[in-house]
Amino acid sequence: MKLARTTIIAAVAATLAFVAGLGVTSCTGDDDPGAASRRTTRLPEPDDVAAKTDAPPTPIDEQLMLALAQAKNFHHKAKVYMADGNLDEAIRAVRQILDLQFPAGAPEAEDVRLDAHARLAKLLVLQGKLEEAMSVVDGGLAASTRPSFFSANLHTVKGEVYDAMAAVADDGSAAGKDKATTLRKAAIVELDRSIQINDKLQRELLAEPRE
Amino acid sequence: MSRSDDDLPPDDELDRDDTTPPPGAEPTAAERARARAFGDLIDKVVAGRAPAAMPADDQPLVEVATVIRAATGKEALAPARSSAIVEAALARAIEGLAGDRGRARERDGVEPTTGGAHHGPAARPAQHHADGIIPLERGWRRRAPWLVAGGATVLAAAAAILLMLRGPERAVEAPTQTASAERAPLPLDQRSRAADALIGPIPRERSGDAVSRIDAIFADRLDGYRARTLSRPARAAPRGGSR
Repeated sequence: MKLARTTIIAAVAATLAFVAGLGVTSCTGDDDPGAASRRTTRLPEPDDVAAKTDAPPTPIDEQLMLALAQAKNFHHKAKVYMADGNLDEAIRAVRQILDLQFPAGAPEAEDVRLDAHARLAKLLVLQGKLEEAMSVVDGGLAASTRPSFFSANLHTVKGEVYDAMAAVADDGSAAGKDKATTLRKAAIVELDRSIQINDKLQRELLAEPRE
Repeated sequence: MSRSDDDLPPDDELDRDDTTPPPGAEPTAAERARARAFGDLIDKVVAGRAPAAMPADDQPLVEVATVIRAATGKEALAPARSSAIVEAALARAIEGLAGDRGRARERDGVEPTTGGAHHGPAARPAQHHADGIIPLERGWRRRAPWLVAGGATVLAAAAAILLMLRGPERAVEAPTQTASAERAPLPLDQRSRAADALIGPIPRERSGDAVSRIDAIFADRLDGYRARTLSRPARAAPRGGSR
């Protein structure tokens, strides 16, 4: 009896030690340094774009496709509202694109937002809200982190806003003409900046292999 | 009932000698012959050539003579013979003791102890220290549980150490596999990237045509997404991937 009891105790001790070893090894083998950066709830950080330069290529994932699909739907929704003459709802639909959550560091996010800023500014110009349109354009350009055809397009839209402002300012008076002249010069500056960006990007694209 | 002298057995020879011969008396021929025969018998016994049978009267005399001769140091056994006699005596003692204890356990039905079967429980430890003999069978049975427990503990410790040593290796292998997977070239059309190459310069008259541009971007990225997800194993494909 004593022999059997001691043997059972020894077997239980061995089993506990084995299970503890498995637990220790299983706990130590779960370290993934990249897990934190892959959380879906993570918000984009300002350093994400800078880090993206040296970061490995990010594959097209489900989150990116979801954001792009939503942006596409909002643009089409705005198009329908514009066809119906409902600019307020069209503007509201385009503003929702700016609130979309893209994957951190996705280059498509900046492109889509710049394009939404451009369209929103043009809709505000149609409504005669030139100051607000200029504010939207400036906000989009301030958020831009790299030269792109979309930022160039936003400079073009900014030039259009300046041109619209000049048209409003030119009321026939001398002061109005001077202000309009100043605004048109600013518009030309923005259009020239757009051209410069386009030229630079086109040269770079010609030097790189095409997609 | 009365018995006559004729019915009595004849008296012993010594009893018949009513008179002890004086010390200076000359031994008779019979006495001389008997002394010579007894001396020959002593010599044979001491030399290890004891006769198969001897008179009952002579046996105690032979033993006494042997003891006296050995005590005086006149007779010494060879070392080999002495060792053989001692070992044989010890073996008989051990076997006899173990046999007695085994029979006592069977008879009493109690756990074996160091004492003999005739001792009580209180006297057994004292008997154990007294005789200092522990049967090999009993020693093994007492040590067996501890040997099993010790062996199992050593095996468990070895297994735990082995698994702990293998843990860091697996932790090192995991990043290596991830790094090798990242080193694998990802096709350009399956990467998240800027849409400049896809859209190109935006003419002024189409600056507000964001609908066509988002349609182009979405269609292009959808192609890449499908190519990436369909090229992977089925278990790695995300749920609801087709939109």
